[in-house]
Amino acid sequence: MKTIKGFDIQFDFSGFKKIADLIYFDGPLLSHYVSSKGDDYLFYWVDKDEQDNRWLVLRVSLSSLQKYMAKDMSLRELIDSPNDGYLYLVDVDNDIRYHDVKLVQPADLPEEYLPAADSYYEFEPVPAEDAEELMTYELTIPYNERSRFEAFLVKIGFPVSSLKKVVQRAAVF
Amino acid sequence: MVEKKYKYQKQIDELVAFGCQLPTLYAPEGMEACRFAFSDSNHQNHVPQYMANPKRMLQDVAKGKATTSLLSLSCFSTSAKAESFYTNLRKAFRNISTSVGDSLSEGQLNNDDGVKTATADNGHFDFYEYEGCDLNSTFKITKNLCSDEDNKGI
Repeated sequence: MKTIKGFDIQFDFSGFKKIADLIYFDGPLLSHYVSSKGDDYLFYWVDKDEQDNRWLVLRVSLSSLQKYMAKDMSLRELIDSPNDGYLYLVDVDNDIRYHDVKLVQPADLPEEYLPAADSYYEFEPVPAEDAEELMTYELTIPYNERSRFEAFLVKIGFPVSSLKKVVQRAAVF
Repeated sequence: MVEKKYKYQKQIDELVAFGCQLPTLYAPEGMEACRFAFSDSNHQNHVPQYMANPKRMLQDVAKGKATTSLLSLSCFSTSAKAESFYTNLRKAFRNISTSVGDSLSEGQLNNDDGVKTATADNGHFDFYEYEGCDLNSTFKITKNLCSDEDNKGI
């Protein structure tokens, strides 16, 4: 496979949980995962050889993901503008061992690792069997109701770590 | 009537023993069907995913995510639907030809060849081969999907 310019790093993917395969044909090609911190990631297949499959991993916002699923945004746009400004490139061998993880810039990727400009979503998602408990729901809370909403969540025993995430998202949307 | 054995009966039995179930299956009744295939001789065509990579089946069993679907062959009911699906795949994955093939192959599926799942709206269905079935002898490559060149008749 091609040598790609980037920084070698260690990255632990073990806490990632699959939500759905967004594109599947004889195996997953584009999958939505959530990290142990609650961040949304896409695993995007780009290449293979006899030993490895190569994936690009990028953190995405839920709003971008929703736009992609609604065909308001192309896969190319998602990959060209990852949340962190960079992507992870990872090779996964036949024993599902992740190795040679690199931080890469979208601009350093060869054209064959990038979707076409008109790569709009034309597929059916396949939810992971155990994804139900991981489903994310979006709420829009008016800013002046934020305190009351926080108090309500605490009252019903919503975990504080999740609360921070929810409130952060509620503030964004 | 003697029940026909699947081509990969042993592997299907293993997955069933692990709790997998075969989907509802139907006779193909001689339907015309299409599959993606490799035009070069370095790749084997018409081999299910788990047979091409037996480790994958073991890993999926270990993770409780095994499926009999990967012991079947992905087919499409019409060439138009197969080409449309491939076009969308290729827009998303420029290298898709290295994974699923670069060509369209077409042939007839008879009741002696195997059984199929219901056809999805996009034309896709899984075909479970019976023992003795070999689509290499009945399916022919008709079109290169990575160019506009139609190879029909070659």
